[in-house]
Amino acid sequence: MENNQVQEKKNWLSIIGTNLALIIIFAFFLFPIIWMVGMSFKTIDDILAWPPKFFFTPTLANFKAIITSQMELRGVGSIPIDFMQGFWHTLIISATAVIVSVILGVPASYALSRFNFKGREDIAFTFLSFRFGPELLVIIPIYFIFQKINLMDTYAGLIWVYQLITLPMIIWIMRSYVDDVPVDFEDACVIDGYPRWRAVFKIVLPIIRPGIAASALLAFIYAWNNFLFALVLGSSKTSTLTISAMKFISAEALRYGIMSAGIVISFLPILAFSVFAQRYFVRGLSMGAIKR
Amino acid sequence: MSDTSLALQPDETSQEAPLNPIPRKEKWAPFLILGPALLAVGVVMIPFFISVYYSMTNYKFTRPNFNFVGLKNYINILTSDTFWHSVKVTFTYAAIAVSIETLLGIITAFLLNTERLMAKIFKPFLLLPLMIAPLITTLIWRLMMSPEFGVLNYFLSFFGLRDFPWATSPDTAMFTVLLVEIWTFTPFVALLVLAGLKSLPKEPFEAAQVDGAGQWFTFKNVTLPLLTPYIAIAVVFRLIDSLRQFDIIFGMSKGGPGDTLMNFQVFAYTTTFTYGNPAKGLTYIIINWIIIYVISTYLVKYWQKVQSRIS
Amino acid sequence: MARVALKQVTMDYDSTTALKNVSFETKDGEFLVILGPAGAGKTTLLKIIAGVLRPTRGRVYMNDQDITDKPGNLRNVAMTFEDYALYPTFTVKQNMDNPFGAMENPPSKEERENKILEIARMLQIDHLLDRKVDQLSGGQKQRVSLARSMVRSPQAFLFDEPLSHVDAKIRHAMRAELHRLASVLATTTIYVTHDYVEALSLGDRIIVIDKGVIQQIGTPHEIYHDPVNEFVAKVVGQPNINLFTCTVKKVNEQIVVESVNSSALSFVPRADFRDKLERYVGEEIRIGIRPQDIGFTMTPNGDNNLATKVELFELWGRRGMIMALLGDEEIRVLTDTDEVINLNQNVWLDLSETPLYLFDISGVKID
Repeated sequence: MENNQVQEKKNWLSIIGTNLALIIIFAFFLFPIIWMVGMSFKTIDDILAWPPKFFFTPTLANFKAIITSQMELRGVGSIPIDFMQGFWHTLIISATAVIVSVILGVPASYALSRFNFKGREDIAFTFLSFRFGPELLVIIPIYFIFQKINLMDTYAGLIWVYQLITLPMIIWIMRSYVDDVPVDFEDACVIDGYPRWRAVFKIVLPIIRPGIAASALLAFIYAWNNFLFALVLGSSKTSTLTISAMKFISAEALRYGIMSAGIVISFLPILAFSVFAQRYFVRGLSMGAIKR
Repeated sequence: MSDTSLALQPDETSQEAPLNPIPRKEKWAPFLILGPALLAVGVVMIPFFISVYYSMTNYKFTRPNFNFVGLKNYINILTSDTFWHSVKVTFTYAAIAVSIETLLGIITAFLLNTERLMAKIFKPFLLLPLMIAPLITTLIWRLMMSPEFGVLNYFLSFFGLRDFPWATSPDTAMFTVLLVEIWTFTPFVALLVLAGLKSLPKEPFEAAQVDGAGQWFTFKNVTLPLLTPYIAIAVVFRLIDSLRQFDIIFGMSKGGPGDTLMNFQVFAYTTTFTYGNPAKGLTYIIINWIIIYVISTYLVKYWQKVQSRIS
Repeated sequence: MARVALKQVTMDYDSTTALKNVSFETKDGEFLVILGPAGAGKTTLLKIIAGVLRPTRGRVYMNDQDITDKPGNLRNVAMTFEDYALYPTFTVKQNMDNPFGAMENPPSKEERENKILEIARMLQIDHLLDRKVDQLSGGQKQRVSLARSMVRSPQAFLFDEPLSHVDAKIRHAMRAELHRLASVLATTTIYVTHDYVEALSLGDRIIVIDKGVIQQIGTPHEIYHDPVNEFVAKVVGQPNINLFTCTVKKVNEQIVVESVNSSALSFVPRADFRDKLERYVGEEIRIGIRPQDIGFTMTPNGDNNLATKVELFELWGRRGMIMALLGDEEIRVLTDTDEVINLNQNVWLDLSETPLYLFDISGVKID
C-alpha cells in the first residue's frame, strides 16, 4: 500500500542519512589519529613530501630510533634521542600517583559516604574544587616552595602534586560507588560477628572493586596526559612525555619522523585501554554525578 | 491479667533519658580516615594563601627584596587594556567552545543512540580524542597544519586556501585553537549525553506514542527535558575547564601571535616565567580563580540538584 | 535464650526522630511482634537491639545487663533484613559460613560443613548451596537469609519484615513455617511487620508502634479486643474498623447513641455498654464498630434495625464487603453471606448486640 511505501522510503532515507552523518563525524574525529599513526611509519622523505602521501612504504626506523634512543643520520653516524626517558618518567609518576591516591582516597570516600559529620559537604566540596580551579593558582607558589625545600624536579614532588589531579577524582567517583552499596551489607556482617572495619574489607571492598579499577584507570589517564605540572615543576630528571614531545617541535625538521613515533607511543596504550573501558568512564568523567 | 501498657501520646511529656555520649573513637573515626587524604591536599591551602600574598606584592625575579603593595596590582590590572583583552580572549574561547561542543555532542549522541551499522561500529572509538593528552593533540594538529607538508593545507588547497595561516595570523588563530578544542572535548559531551539517552525511562515515550505525539513534539517535550540534567553536567564541566584552558593554547602558539590568544592561564604563566613577574602573574590567576569560583559554585549547586533528579 | 529490654530509647536524626522514649521487655523465649506502618521506626528498633545503631538516648539490656555500649559484633544476636542483605560476591554456602569466620574459636571445617548442611536441609535450600546469590528468587533469598542467622546459636532472633517481599501465595505457607521454626528453636524472637495478620497469628505478644512511639503492648487478644486508642483499633482488622463521632443521649430514660453527622445512625447500644455510657450523657465520644460485628439482614427484622443504602459491594470469598450509607455517614459491613447485593439496594443493620469500642474525643480508650 502507498502508506507502507512512504514509510519505507522515509526509513531508507533516515538509515542512509544517519550512517552518512556518522561517517562524516567520525572521519573528523578519527582522521588525525589515523594520519598520525601513518606518519609514524613514514620515512622522513615521505613525511616532507608534497602533496602528502596517502600510500607509502612503511618503515620501522622511527620506532627503532625512539626505543633505542639513537637516530641514524645518513652518513653522519647517530645522535642520541631523549624520549624514552620521558616514557618511563611518565609511567612511574602517573602509576605511583594513582596508587597513592587509591590508598588515601578509597578510605576517604568511605568516610564521606558513611559518616555524617559536621563539615562533611564542605570537605567534599573542597576536594571537588581542586578539579575546577586554575592550576597555576597553586602551582606557582609550589614552584617557589619546592625550590626552597628541594623538591623541584623530583619524583616525590611531582607525585605529591599530582594528587591534586588524581585524589579528587578517586574520592568523588568512589564516593558514588560506596553510596550504591546498602549499609545493610555491612550491618549484617557486623551482626555475624565481625568488627566494622573487617566487615568493610570483607564485604564492601569486593563489591566496589570494579569501581576502583575504573576510577584508577581514568585518574591514570589524566595524570599521564598532564603537561602544566611537569612544565613548571619538572625538569630534566622528571620530564614527562608531554614535555619531551614539546621539545621535538623546536627541533629541526629531520626529527618529525621520530616525533611522530614518539607521539604514537605516548598515546597508543591509553587509547587501547579506553576502547575497552569506555563504558566505565561515564561515572568517572562526571565525577560520580552520572551513574550509568 | 496482662501488662497492657497505656498508650503514650506523642505530646505526653514523660521523663526522657539523658543523652548517650558518643564514644570518642566514633567521633574521630571519620577524621582519622579522611586525615591522610586531607593532609595531602589540604597542604594546598598554604600555596593558595601564598599566592594571594604574593599577588599583593611587587615580587619580580629581578627584585627578590619585594614589598607589600596591597591591592595596587589588582587596580593596575583591572584598568589595563591587556587585562580586558585577556578577558575577551578567555570568554570568547569558552563561549564558542562550549556552544559548539554541546551542539555537536548532542547530535553525535543522538546519532550513536540508533541501531545503524555505523553507530555500532564507531561507538567504541568515541572517546579517543579525549584520551590523548591535549598537548599531544595540539602537536598532532600542528603537524597537520604545517605550511610545508601539512595534510590539512593539502585539503584546503582544493579551496584555494593552500596558505591558510592557522595559528600564525591573529585573524585565524582563535579559529585554529577552537578547532583543536572542539575536536578534543566534543566526545566528552557526547558520551555523557549518550549515557543519559540510554538511561531514560521508557514510560514517557510510550505514553507520548499512545497519545499520538509526533517525532518533533516528543523530542521537544519529552526527550529534551529528561535529558537536561545530563547536558547540564556536561556543560558545567566544559565551561569551567575551557575558562582555564592552558595546554592547547600554549602548545599551539604559546599565546601568540603577539597576545592574540592570551587567555588567563597562558598569560599568567607567561607573565610569571617569561617576564619574571610572579606578582602580576598571580594577580591574573587569582582573578581567573574568582571568576571560575563564582561560576562553579552556582553551577555545582545546579549540578547537585540535577544529580538528585537522576539517581 | 535471653530477655531483651529497652529503656527509654530515643533515636534522633538531623531532621526527624525515629524512636521516642521506647521501653519494653521481652520474656525469655518469647515471640514478640512489633507491628506498625512504614516509617514507624521498626527497623531502627531492631538495629539498636542488634548494636549497629546507637540510640541517642536510653539504654539496651540483655538479661539485665546494660549492653548499650557493647559493639554489635559481640552481642550474639542474629538478624534478617527486609532486603535480605545477602553478600553478593559470595555463594549461598559462603554466606552461611560467614559467621563462623568471625569466631574466636571457630569449629572445625567438618563441623561447619555439617551444620551448614543441616540447616540448609531444614530450610530446603541444600540444593542451592553453591549458587551465587543473585541467581536466587525472592523466596529462596529469604530462606538463605534465615539460614545464615541460624548457623550460630544466637541469644535472640531479630526478623525485619521477612515476608513482605514474598509472593502472597507463598506467604501463608511461610508464615506457618516460621511459626514452626520459632518453636523448634525456642529462642527469644523479635519479629517486625506491618501486616496485622502475621502479628496476630505469630506473636505471643504484640507491640503496636506508630511514628516512633509505642501505642500498646499486649497479647493478640488484648490488641484486638481491648485497643488502647483509635490507632491500635484501626491497625487490626480488614476492612478498617468504623469510627464515628457520636453524642450520648438519653431518650425516654434510654441511652441512645447518635452520630453527629447523621441522625440516621442512631441506636440503643448493648446492655453492658449502656452502663458504661451513663457517665457520658450529653457528651461527644468516639465509637468504634468492627464491620464483622454488625448484624445484617436483607429485609427489616425488628424495630432496632437501621435502614441503609448500599454504596459499594465487593465479594470477599464467602463474605460480602459492603459500604453503606446511613444518611451522611458511611459504614462498612462484613456480611456472612456470599449473596450478591446490588448497589442502591436497601439493607438493614442491627447494632443492638454489637460490641463497641469507646474512645474519648482525642482517641484514647474510655474504660
